[in-house]
Amino acid sequence: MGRRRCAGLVALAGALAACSSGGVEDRTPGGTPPPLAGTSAFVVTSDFQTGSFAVFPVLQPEAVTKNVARLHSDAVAREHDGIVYVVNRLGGDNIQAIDPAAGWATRWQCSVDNGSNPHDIAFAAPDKAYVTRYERAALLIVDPTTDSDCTGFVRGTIDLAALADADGLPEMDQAVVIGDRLYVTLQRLDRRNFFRPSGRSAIAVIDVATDTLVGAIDLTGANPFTESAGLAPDPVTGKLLVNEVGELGRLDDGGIEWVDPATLRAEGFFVTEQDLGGNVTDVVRIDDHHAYAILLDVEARSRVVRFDPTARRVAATLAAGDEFLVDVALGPDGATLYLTDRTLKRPGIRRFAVADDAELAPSPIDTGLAPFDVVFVAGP
Amino acid sequence: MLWLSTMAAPAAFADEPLLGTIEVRGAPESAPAVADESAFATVVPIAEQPGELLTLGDVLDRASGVSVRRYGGLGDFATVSIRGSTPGQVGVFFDGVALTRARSETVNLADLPLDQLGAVEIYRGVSPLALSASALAGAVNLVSRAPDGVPRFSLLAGGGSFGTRKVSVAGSAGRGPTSGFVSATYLGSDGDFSFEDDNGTLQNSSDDRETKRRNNAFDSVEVLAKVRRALASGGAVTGLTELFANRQGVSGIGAYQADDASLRDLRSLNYIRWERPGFAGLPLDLASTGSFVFERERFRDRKGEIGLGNVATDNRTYTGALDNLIASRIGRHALEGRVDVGGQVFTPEDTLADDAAGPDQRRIRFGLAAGDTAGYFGDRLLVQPSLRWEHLRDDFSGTSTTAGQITRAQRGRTRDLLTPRLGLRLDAAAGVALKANVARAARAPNFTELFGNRGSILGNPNLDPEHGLNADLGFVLARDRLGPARRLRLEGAGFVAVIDDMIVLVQNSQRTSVFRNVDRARTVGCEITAGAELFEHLRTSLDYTYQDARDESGIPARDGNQLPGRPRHELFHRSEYRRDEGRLFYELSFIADNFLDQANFLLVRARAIHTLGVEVDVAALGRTLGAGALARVPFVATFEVRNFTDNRVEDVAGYPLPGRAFFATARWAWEGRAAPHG
Repeated sequence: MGRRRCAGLVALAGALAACSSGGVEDRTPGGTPPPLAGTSAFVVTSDFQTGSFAVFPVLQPEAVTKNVARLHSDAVAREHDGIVYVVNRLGGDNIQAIDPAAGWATRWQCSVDNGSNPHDIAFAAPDKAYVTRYERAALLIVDPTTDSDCTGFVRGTIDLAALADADGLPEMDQAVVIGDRLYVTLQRLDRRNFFRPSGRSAIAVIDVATDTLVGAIDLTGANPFTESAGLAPDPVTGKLLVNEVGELGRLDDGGIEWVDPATLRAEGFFVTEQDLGGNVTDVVRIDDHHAYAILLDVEARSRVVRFDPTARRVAATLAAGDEFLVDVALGPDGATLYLTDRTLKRPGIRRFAVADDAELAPSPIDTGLAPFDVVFVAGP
Repeated sequence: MLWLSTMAAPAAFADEPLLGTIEVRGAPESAPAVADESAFATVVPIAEQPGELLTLGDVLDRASGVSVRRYGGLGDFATVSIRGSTPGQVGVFFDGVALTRARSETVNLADLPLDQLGAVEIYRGVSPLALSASALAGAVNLVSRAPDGVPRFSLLAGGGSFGTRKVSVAGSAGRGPTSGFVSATYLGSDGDFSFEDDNGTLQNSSDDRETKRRNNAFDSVEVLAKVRRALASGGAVTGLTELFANRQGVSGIGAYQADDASLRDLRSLNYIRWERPGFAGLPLDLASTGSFVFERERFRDRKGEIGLGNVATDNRTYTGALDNLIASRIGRHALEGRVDVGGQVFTPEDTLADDAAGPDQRRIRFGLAAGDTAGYFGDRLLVQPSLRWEHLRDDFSGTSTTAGQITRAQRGRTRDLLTPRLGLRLDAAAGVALKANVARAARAPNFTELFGNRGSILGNPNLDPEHGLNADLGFVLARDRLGPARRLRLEGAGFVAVIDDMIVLVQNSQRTSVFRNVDRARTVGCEITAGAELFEHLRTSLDYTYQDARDESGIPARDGNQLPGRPRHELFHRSEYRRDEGRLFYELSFIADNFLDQANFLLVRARAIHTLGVEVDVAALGRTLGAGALARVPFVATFEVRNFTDNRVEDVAGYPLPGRAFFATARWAWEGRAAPHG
């Protein structure tokens, strides 16, 4: 009798063992995005637990496809030659190449060393790009032509430790290649002291032919910072527009300045935080008298303003809130300003006409998870 | 307090302890009654020096209505949820002394060893007046072993997979009216279990590999001493001191394991309790408990492996309280009252920062409570109204360092929490009781939520408490004998829990996050608990929970989703075949599909974890076999295989749990005769 009961238990255990599974499965609901026609907005979305992306044609914003596929919860995107490169930051620690022409499928996803916290990717050639890593002193050189198993992805490193502050890490952030030079912002924050600036920040200058550090540009202030946007040269002057927040919550130590990559010189703030009334966390310049910025005040409230860089004054407030306004970007038409608005109960992409600051419908564009970054990718 | 509560309960149910308790696993034959007549509660007796390698998390996870989320294996951080709640909404107590801290209510179950306990009480949806503080979703009370004056000494040693080792020693003695109990337990593990690492690249399987958990070892020691002296007046004085020390590596997420981060914990819990029945010749029973708890937590992440930035914190919490429970029986009314006062000071320190000492944070608590258990129709119907009022004053000694979010005027705030409750119990037939409860409770914002930290979290002194409404209705059926079954017990309850104004952390700028009252959750479900002894040798039990826990926050990407970590179905089953020579046991833990995230993107498929074990009393076996040599070996040996199908799962995204594991222990015990009562 006793043996039979034991046998029954074992049989029951076996049956349940057969049905047990476990393991984590990606259930991002997704959907089939429309075929790419013209230009699409690629929106990185996140609730800081999980991440995804949404896409919509810029001419048909109501045709948004949400939750297309999984990204890391802390990610930004860059577009290069028709491919979207997602920089999956701390905890993801990889670059993910997404091909719009292949139905937004991931071409490859390659690690840049776990824990390294990649922040940006800048392209020097089809087979050569640079990845800034916030938690490392060495910049990574990668080959974007790699395949799905990442063979040959990592080509080498460039040590920037010589430009680090006392904690040994330079906090490399944004990067851009102009001509034969790579420019990398170095925030130089004191990570042992709540990431306060440890002095003036800098831009490292690297020769992309030899992959050697050839110089550094001392910035006027500290902490060159944008949450998601990358560096980009002005199409007319070729200069870099750099906003420096200094210490967040302090309004007397930052501003926006031009940095001339030809002369390796920072030209000084042409508008300061005090002029605008907040830390400048992102900026879009239209012309000498027309620019947009996201400002963060001492009470941690954000607003999007239009300001006159020459007159050094705010002209209008487009959006305000006590929740997270992350990114402003100029649309591919040059006439529409895109805002990633993470207002908790009404998040989405909001668009404003540059001509008159009017908000465009539909608004906000629901992206599933709240938007974090937006880039535009042209059709094939 | 249990004693008082039992004393105060109407006599009609005093001889039916089964109606208020359930024996979930093998242990003492009689379990203590719960300290609440109408509450749906579970009392889990803990065997003296259990041979199975159980943790408090294991014990809680088996009970219906309770979920435990683990961040790893033995020794790793683990939290408890009751009826879909957050961990912070569950009150945790040790002999009635609150362990929840104003800094953060979430209690790490791994810091609460099991061996020194006599029982674990789980109250679902209510926090009874026997406990010194309210709790929004329910309460867990750890009851230390009661000294009984019988001289005993026992030694247990064991070990198993992943370098796990355990040594426990316990002794008790008594002389005249004084009895005492001392025990010490060392538990440690290398924690180096294997798991599948996806290298953080979800879309790339070519770099996946099996690897071992690193920097996951821990060593912990707990020492507890308890002395009780019976007083000539009929009362007693009890003193207890408990010391817990733990040193462990902090391994972080599986894809990026930290090699250097570490955590050290120290807790010293002390109380003295005076119990006096019939105070001043009146029908008044008093129990006063003076307690002091010191906790120190040192976290080191000097290389910034766990989060962003280098961290070395040394945080201390000092808690003192004087809790008083008064009980009286007047006619049909069993009255209870409380007068509690306490204070807590939290002193943070970041040793890497220029200004290492953070601002002190203080809470003063004053509580009053009154309740009645009124019996009608010969105590067949019990009506149990109660009301608890708690007044909290929180102070912050500094202004914040980031964005100036705490103004001088906001540094001191007071809050009042009111917890009304009505419970009913109807003795419908012999051994059948119907129970119903409705209660409203609150959770005050904690120090982190109010005052932030010195980094990226902004405090919000204007937060409101979280509020919850809990209601349940069910039955308890108990039979001493039914056919071949003995000690048969069946309990079923349906429940609803709605929690409003939930406090969540919202990132509000590039470098800062702030707590806000924005969330709402609703859980509807039912719990079934059954247990019986069959054919004399077989014990079996089943705990099943169905819950539909929904996010009702109104946040578009989450609203209507299943709350993460709250599966719809959870089942625990244990069967034990027991003879004098030992026992054979089997356990099944089943958890249905479950999400790890609020967006419901990360699904953990249904899983079943199986455990099989055997315990042999060598001496008894020797007697049965007529082997004289064996009969003189006073050992009990236990061997178990946990998760024998090697199911690899996660409770929290990125934190793997161990697969198959083997453990074995041996226990030697000596027991003398109780000295005659002097």
